[in-house]
Amino acid sequence: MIVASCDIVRDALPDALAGRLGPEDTRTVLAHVAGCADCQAEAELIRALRLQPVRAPQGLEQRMRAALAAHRGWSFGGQRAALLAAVLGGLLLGGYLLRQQAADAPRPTASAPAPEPTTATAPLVPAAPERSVALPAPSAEVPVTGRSLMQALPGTTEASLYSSSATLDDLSEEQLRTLLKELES
Amino acid sequence: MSTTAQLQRTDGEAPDDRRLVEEARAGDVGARDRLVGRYVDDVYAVAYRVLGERDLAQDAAQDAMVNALGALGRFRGDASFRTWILRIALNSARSMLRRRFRRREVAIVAAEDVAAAAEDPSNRAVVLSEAERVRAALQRLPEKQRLSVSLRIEQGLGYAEIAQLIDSTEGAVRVNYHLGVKRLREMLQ
Repeated sequence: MIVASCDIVRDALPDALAGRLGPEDTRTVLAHVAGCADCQAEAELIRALRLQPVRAPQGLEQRMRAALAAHRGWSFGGQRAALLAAVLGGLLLGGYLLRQQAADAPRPTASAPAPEPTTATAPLVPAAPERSVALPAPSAEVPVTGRSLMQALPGTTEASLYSSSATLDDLSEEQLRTLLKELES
Repeated sequence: MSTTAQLQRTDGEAPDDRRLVEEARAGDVGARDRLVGRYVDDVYAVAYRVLGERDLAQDAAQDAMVNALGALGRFRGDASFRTWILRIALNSARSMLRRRFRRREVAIVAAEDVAAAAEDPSNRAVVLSEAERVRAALQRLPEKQRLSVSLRIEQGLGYAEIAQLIDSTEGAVRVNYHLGVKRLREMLQ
């Protein structure tokens, strides 16, 4: 039997516990879990999440079908009619505008535009964690660690590293692998 | 000494999804309704994981299903049908979230209703099961970690599919997933 490391096993655990791996791979994963307390704890967490899956409330399926039935005339035959109407409408409007331009009618004196209402728009909730920040250009020669990520991002603390994950998309594959290794060590 | 194991997961797409889609496109109401029945739970679950509130999630899920199955011509088959419809669910939920913030109607509650009831000292009869504690903790994760964990464990999607769904990279999804799991374990200790 192949011996698998923790990082491989933890990647595969959701699939192993859901029966999406082949029998031999499943045995490999479960054999590792049996002998590793850390991976065992992770397996328990996954089992707990899968134990009570989120289910649609009663009646939602019927409401969806009813909404689709009401929508059906538009979605099948009516969609083409709507598209045709939109194209014709666009052509008519375009023609009208061209005629207006060609006539070059004198413009009436415009009255002062009404001022736009201004309202306070302070957000009710603080900005979502996933705001973009300027990152140093990813470089394969500069390994990214949790500590270096914190140094590169002003105001990043360990807690916010957990909570602010929008920066990960900007990292290279090499940097992500380094970060993952640090996380697992 | 450990060696790398080649662990192959099976494709999650239902074998007759494509056939049902073609039949529904052709006007077969039965095929369309079977797709509703097949994906109502998944669509609702994704909406719920974004919104954290049942009524909003139902509205978003219904909108998503009508958008998806009411305009099947948009499904080109680049991704699996499941990934496609879950993406519509995600967009629908996020759109609802943005509208609610703009209208200042609601501050999104991160914890689940049952967890909130259990924290009420006057409601001592409510005891959370371990599964409910885990689900409540999941709702408290930041969105990308929450979605990566939920889509991986609850929906059974692979990292590449999740990346396609949430406009991320496979590597970032993988890190978000492991960060999310680590955070969950810390919260539940």
